[in-house]
This record gives sequence, structure tokens and C-alpha cells, in this order.
Amino acid sequence: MVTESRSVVDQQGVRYTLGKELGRGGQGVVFAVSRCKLAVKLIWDSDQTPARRERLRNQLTLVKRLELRDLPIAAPLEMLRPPDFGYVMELITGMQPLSSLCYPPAELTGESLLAWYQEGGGLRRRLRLLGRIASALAVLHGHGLVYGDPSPHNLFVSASVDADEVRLLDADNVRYTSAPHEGVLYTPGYGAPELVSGCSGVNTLTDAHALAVMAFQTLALVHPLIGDLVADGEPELEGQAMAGRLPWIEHETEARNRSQCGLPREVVLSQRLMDLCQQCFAKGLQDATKRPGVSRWVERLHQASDACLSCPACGWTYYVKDTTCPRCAAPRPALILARIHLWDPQLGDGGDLLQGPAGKPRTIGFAVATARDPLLLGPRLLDGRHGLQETPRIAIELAGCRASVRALDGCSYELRAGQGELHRVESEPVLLSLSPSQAEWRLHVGPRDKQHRIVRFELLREASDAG
Amino acid sequence: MNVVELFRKEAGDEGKELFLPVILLVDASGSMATAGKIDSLNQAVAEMVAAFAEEDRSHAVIAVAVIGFGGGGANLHQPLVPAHEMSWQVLAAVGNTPLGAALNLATKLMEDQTQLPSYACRPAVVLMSDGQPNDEWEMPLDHLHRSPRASKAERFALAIGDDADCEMLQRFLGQPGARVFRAHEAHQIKHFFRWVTMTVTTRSRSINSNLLASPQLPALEDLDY
Repeated sequence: MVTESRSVVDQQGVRYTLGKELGRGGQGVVFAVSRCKLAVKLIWDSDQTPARRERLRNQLTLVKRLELRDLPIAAPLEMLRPPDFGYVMELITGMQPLSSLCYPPAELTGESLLAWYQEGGGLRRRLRLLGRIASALAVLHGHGLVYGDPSPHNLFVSASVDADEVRLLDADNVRYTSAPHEGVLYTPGYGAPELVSGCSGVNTLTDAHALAVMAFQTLALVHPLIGDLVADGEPELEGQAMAGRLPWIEHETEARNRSQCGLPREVVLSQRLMDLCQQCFAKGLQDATKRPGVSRWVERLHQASDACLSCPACGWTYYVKDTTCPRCAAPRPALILARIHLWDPQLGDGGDLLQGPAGKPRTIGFAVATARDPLLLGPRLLDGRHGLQETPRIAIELAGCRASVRALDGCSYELRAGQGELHRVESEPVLLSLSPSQAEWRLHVGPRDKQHRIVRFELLREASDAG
Repeated sequence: MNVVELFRKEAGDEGKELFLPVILLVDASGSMATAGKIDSLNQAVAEMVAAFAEEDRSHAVIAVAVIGFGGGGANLHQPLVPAHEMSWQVLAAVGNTPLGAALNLATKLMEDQTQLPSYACRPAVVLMSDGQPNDEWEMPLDHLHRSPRASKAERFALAIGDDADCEMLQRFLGQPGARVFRAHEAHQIKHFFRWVTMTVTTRSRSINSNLLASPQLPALEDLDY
């Protein structure tokens, strides 16, 4: 065990006194450095050859370059001098591991478990955080890189429920996809079956498996491969489950590994998220090429969080198609449904919205606002730009039967009604009267002579009123 | 059996199943071998094809052809097949960047009525590259712009790598300031397809598009999430 007074020295000769242990995983341990905003990661590796040190040096150099591009990776600063093996990095404050949201304390059941879920920000915040983690992995994959070992212990999220930041902690595993595989590394429970069996090194699809497991576990509070058969059975069964030799707990036809644990799946998983889980944990378990890639999780996790609203009675967040709150049964409140379409100036007179393959106007996305959930629209929905920064541009609030719309970015947007009524949306709120199930207002988020997205508003009354 | 025969067969003799051809121009040149670019490209193609395969196929499908260009010249790496039946064979990066030859091959494919019949939707051409061609490509691009059918294609560009020459990719798109997608946004491209057939001319440009009343909307049933 490391004592309080232990110190390490970096390549430049700077000495760091190790303080509190911050985290411990399969590959190493992270300490805060006493009296400064730095941390030290010590890697447990018996193989400390010059070649291994060189490899770590290259990986850290790679990550330093990435960090400059705003990827949310904890920045590595300097390697340690032998006999220690590891590196100094920035200390991330105000964040906690994702494990704080997916492993509930064992003593909680029933109401107390639901209260714990809600204290962590509930369903919508979990979807948002997972969406951001998925986005960060997708951006890494877009650079031809893999994270290597995604797990709830090395992915950090804001400690405050009012913030949704994410940070990737393990810079030393990032590598190019096609780099020759040098020893298999994964966190038990999150390694794809082909890693567990040693048939493959890490790649984008092993990252995708780990993400899928974390998503299911964070949302439903149960591991997708550990059903009652495994949890109550011999230890060898867990090995079989992790190697992908048992059906997953929600397998469509094979029910022998179902689980009594966790939250009802239909409450926490949207249909499209459940479809992804089926693809990932049924066919995709043994055949990685059938496994959905990370960018499909990005899209669907964000879509699912856009589809959430909060219950005015108890604060629980839930999906818009549920007509009552799953926790307290209060009716779904009145809401504004904002649909996003693509406007195309080359398609005139009524055909100006881009069609989908079935010949109907294509709804690219949508989001909801209620009296207690103002809607902030940013580049993801307004431009389809999937970056890591999501600066809101337009705010929509519901007040009675009216929508209040204002620009947050200093721009001026055109808002038109069916009869040609025209407003400009700027920093002062514009109030729109809305009638149920009519979407006569169109907010244009680009110049009319160029292809751009529009937002259509529709009012839905409280679910009990609508019958 | 080519894709047209395949769709005819599925739709019955009189059926003319609508399909939207997407031609991927994929840069597999030596410059793509550095800094993870070829991995990024293979990943982006796989994500894009998966996204196409997910589209509602009850009325129409997306079909994909891949033209690779690199050390061996420009080749039809994958003839047109429905996206949901395609399995992507990863490309290796080697040699020079004959973009011009790839554009010529794409034009030829689009002008061939046996490959793309008149009832097919306007094709989409997606250039995926670091934007550093080394052959004469402007004449072939001009030829594509002027060909009767190929000129109707929607063009998209996907920049691969941090050192991508976006200016070149924008010239391919033909509009200054047009959007160049990044590799991790590959799955977004399907949201921009127009789904109009080759024979339907684009309706007249109209500023006054608000003459028609908005139809009654279905409550929430159609929302997909």
C-alpha cells in the first residue's frame, strides 16, 4: 500500500507528493498531488521495458494533441521517471465517476431506489450524460482512434446534477484503431466477448460494446448480461456470460437469464434504444460486425433525452409518449412539441420541407418544452452539427397556451405563420398563440435562399384533457 | 443481377421500386495511411451505410456503390447494392490520389440508364477524402457538372483527418461556404437526401411557400425516439 508521504519524480525532475487516492481500476491507481491541482496516475505494469515506456510516451503525445481540440480528456502533462511508471495529469474537480450513477447502494429498494435515481438527475440527465460520453467516443473514433477501456470508473461526469459535463480520464489507453494489439486490457464487465476470449484487440466496436453496457446499466440499474441465472449461480456462469455464451437479460426469445433487478425497461429505455440493445446484446454479442457503432448511440441517446419531460407533481423525468408519470401517475402536462425539418428553397410551395423515403415531410428531430422544462435548441438540432460543445441558440418556453421564443445568440430569426404573418425572433421574447395539434408557426434558422432547418411548434394539452 | 433487376424482381413485373443511389467516392491513397485517417474513413463508411440501412424501406430504399481511388487508380470497389444488404470490406491506403479518374467513373455510372433508370431518385455523391488529390480533377468535375443526369446529383463532402483541405472539398461541392461534414457526422448525411426522381424537375424556386395551410398533424404516434 502506498503511504501518505510517498513521492514520485517526473522526467523534468519535478517531485510530487502523493495525497489522497482518487480512483483505482484494473490498470492503475490515481492520486491527487498534495497542495496543487494535479493528479498522478501510477500504472501497474510489470513490463517496464524501454519499448513499453516509449509506447506510453507516444500515447501521451497523441492525447496532448487531441486535448488541444477540446476533446474532454484529462490532459496528461509529463511522464514519471523510473522506477515509477505513469504520468502527471491535470486534476479534474467537481466531477465523479459514472459509477456513482449506475451502482445504487445495495440497501436501496423500491421507493428509496427511485429517490436515489432521481437525486442523480433521473432519466433525462442520465440520457444526456450518456449522449455526451457517446459523442466524445464518436469524435475519437472519427479521428481513427479508440479509447480502449471505457468503464464507469474512468468516465467522469459533473458531480452537480445541474451540470452535464463529461471527462474521459484514461489518456494512456487511447490508440489508433489499426495499431497492432499489445496485450488485451479491459475492465471486467465491460470487455466485449472477443476481448474476454482473447480473439481480438481493442477497436471501435469493443468501445461500442462497453458503451452499450454502461448505457443499459446507467439507465436500468442492472448489467445487461447478468440475469438471475448468473447472479444466483456458480461463479463460472459469470465468465460464460461475459464471454457472450449466455443470452442477455432481455433476449427476445431466450428467457433463461432474465433479471428481476433494475428499473422497468419500458420506463427507462425508448423503443429505439431498446432496438439498439437488442442488436448489440443479441446478434452483436458474438458477431461484432452486427454491433451498432458508437455514432448510432449518440443519435439515439440524444433523441431520447430530447423526448423527455418532467412531471410537475413529483419531478420524475419520463418519455413524452407516456400519458401519465410512471412514478406518481399524474397526467402528462401540457407541452410544446418542436419538430425540426429541413427547408429546401429549391422545393417550392408546400413541398418546401424535405421528404423522407415514404414521401412525408421528414421530421429530423424533435424536442419538448413544458411549463417547467424550457427548451434550449443548439447546433445539434438546429444544424445537425454533432460536436462536443452545445451552445444554446434559441430558447422556447411554454406559458399557458402560448410559446415564448427568443434568440440567445444575438441573431435574428424569421418566424412565419401559415397566413404569412411574420415576426423576427431576437433577444426579446416573441409570444405565439398556439392551437392544439396545429403547427402553423415556422421558425427559420437560416437565410431563406439557402437550405436550412426550420422548427415547427405544436401545442399538446394536458394528457387527461386530450382524452 | 444488378440493383435494378433486383428491385424489379422484388416489386413484381410492373413494380418500379423507388431507390436512391448513393455513390461513395472513397479516398484510399497513401496520404490516408497517416494519423489514423484510413481507420477514420472505414469507420465513417460503416456508420453511414448502417444509418442508410436503418431507413424506412416500405416505400423506397437507399442503394450504395463505392468507388475507391488510390494506388491502383479508380475502381468500382462495390457495385450498387441495397444498403441493408451491403457488408463493408475495409480499404487499405496506398499510392497516389486519382480523384479525376474517380469522378469520371462516377459520371459514367450515373449516365448509364441500365444502372440508374429514370425512375430512380436523384443520386447522391459523397466524397470522403483528406482533400489532397494529385491528378487533374477539375476537368472531370466540370464534366460531371455538365452531364445531363450526373449534374442532377446531390453532392456531399466528408473531410477525413485534421489536415483535410476543406477548400478543395468545397470546390467539389460547388458552393463557397457549403457545409463540409466531419467524419463523426457521417450518419447525418441521410437527413439531407431529397428523394425526388430523375424525371421530376425541381419545382420552381419559390419564396412564398406559406400559401398552403399546415395540415393537421398526428399527435405523437409518428415520433421516433
